[in-house]
Amino acid sequence: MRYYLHLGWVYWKMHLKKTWMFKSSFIINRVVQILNYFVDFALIWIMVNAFQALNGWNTYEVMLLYAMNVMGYAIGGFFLDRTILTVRTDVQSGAFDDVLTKPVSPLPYLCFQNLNPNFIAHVTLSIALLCIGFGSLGTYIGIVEILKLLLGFVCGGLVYVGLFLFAIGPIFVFRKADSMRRVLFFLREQSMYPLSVFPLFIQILMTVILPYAMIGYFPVQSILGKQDYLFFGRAVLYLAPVISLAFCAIAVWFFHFCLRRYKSTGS
Amino acid sequence: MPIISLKNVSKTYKAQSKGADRDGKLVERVKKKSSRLIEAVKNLSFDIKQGEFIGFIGENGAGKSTTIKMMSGILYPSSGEITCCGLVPYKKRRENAMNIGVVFGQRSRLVWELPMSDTFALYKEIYRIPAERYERNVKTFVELLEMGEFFTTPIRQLSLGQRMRVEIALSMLHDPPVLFLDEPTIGLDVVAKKNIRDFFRERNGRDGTTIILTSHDMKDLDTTAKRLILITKGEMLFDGSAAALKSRYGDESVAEFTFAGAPDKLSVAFDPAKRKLSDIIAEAGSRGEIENVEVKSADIEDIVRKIYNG
Ligand SMILES: Nc1ncnc2c1ncn2[C@@H]1O[C@H](COP(=O)(O)OP(=O)(O)OP(=O)(O)O)[C@@H](O)[C@H]1O
Ligand SMILES: [Mg+2]
Repeated sequence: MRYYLHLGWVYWKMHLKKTWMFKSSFIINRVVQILNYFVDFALIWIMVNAFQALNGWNTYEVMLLYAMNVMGYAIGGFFLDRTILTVRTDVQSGAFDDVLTKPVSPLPYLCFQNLNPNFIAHVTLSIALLCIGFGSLGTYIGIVEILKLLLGFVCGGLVYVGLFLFAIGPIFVFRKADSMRRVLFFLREQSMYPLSVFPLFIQILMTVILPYAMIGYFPVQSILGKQDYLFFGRAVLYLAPVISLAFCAIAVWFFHFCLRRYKSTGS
Repeated sequence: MPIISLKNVSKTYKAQSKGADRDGKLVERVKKKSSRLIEAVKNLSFDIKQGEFIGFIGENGAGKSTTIKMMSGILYPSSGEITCCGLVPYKKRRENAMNIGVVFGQRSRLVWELPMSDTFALYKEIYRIPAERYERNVKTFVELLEMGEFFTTPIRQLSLGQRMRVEIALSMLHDPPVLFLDEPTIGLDVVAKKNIRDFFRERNGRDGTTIILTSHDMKDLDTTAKRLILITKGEMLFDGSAAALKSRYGDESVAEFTFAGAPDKLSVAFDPAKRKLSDIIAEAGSRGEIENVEVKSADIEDIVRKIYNG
């Protein structure tokens, strides 16, 4: 692990060296990105205010869901957002061969080669929103709540890492996989709404199959002490880490399953 | 104990049909019929001993690159088995990578925006090369491949020949006992080719590095490779020395006569083992006054051209 961390550092320094000349575009990109998030959030805000409440979830509570989602995305994106682009270009050009002739495990190598620390902006945004949310709600935040929150971050991160990996796998086999990515990331937006507003089969889908609900809904519910446990009862709160971990593990397996089917390109 | 061994290795690619991203039943049906299997490598077997210098030849699409990708662990064979330095490359990829250096002449691994020293430093970390050995190797290669004058120039600004030299040095930084070189001289001028050839020969002679080299320029192989492996349409056609190849596929020399006052030249092909040159000259002399005679003995290129043409 230290080896990959070290490689990550070397690659990141290199990346900085390369982008140094494009400093202004770097800053503009970050500003646009953050503006984007505020627009996103403003839309949800308007909607929630128009309906007053979504199944008993008020504006600030929905904001918490959104904040958790941003945090999960930041963790996944930190490791895999640039990775997905690199893999796509390299698999199409055949340059991916190169990774397979290096003395590295492809998955950690790709993650650390393509770290994207820009996502620290997301982390800041998420924490700011969480502070506003919990502050306005007057929620008591003690050690237990902080631990729950951190566990929620981990679950969200695991789910997002899994989603990214499910999007990367098919690239090895079909050389393109934008459709997969689009589906996974369209569904992700649904995790910004309280799960209980959806019909039952979607609730089940988003709990056990594509467990988007682990990203925000269950952690926030647990901290706020909400009672809309739905179909699964209270037990699901304890199962959340297990489900997230299992989802991520299956995604890792899927990644390697697809990688074995990598066919290179003719020359 | 061979350093590389292939036993009945085959590789079949499933060709992806062009209509793969459209749908509809008709396309589906057509697709099924036309989804072809390409047998890129068929039942290939050979052993390579440590320290050998192999020229790996075959026409375009013969399966050379595919074979090299399997030997270097990039691709799984469809059947058969490969070992390289005692490991199965595609199963023990990480361990195998330490034993091999790979250059694909048509691809670059260099960091385009930065000078070569940055890519070297990166590879030092990836291959965990001890600092002392790293310094020594960089120094040696910069000297041997004459890279000093562009050591600090961004790769983007280098010529093809300069870049290829950097690629070659990069693949050898970790002192691999085996080198796979897939068309490392593609697109280079005669002088650059010769320098690279000499470099490989020197490495092979000095440290006994096992080298497997593909090229479409027979001159690359004539003077370097002691053993030629020739494949065609994925199958083994010939495995042996250049001399053996010549004697097997006809060692034909050509004598070209120019006669005084005649615009046309006369070419006579003959096998030096069977007919003496003096007889041929005597015979030609009876046709007129010989102004000039040029004798060319067959080189591998002629023979390979003959083989490719069937
Ligand atoms: N990734 C791939 N997917 C499908 N078919 C491939 C792939 N790579 C190679 N082929 C096919 O396999 C056959 C062998 O190709 P290969 O690249 O091994 O030949 P080669 O001997 O290296 O040729 P060249 O001298 O042109 O480089 C060709 O018919 C080629 O079209
Ligand atoms: Mg080739």
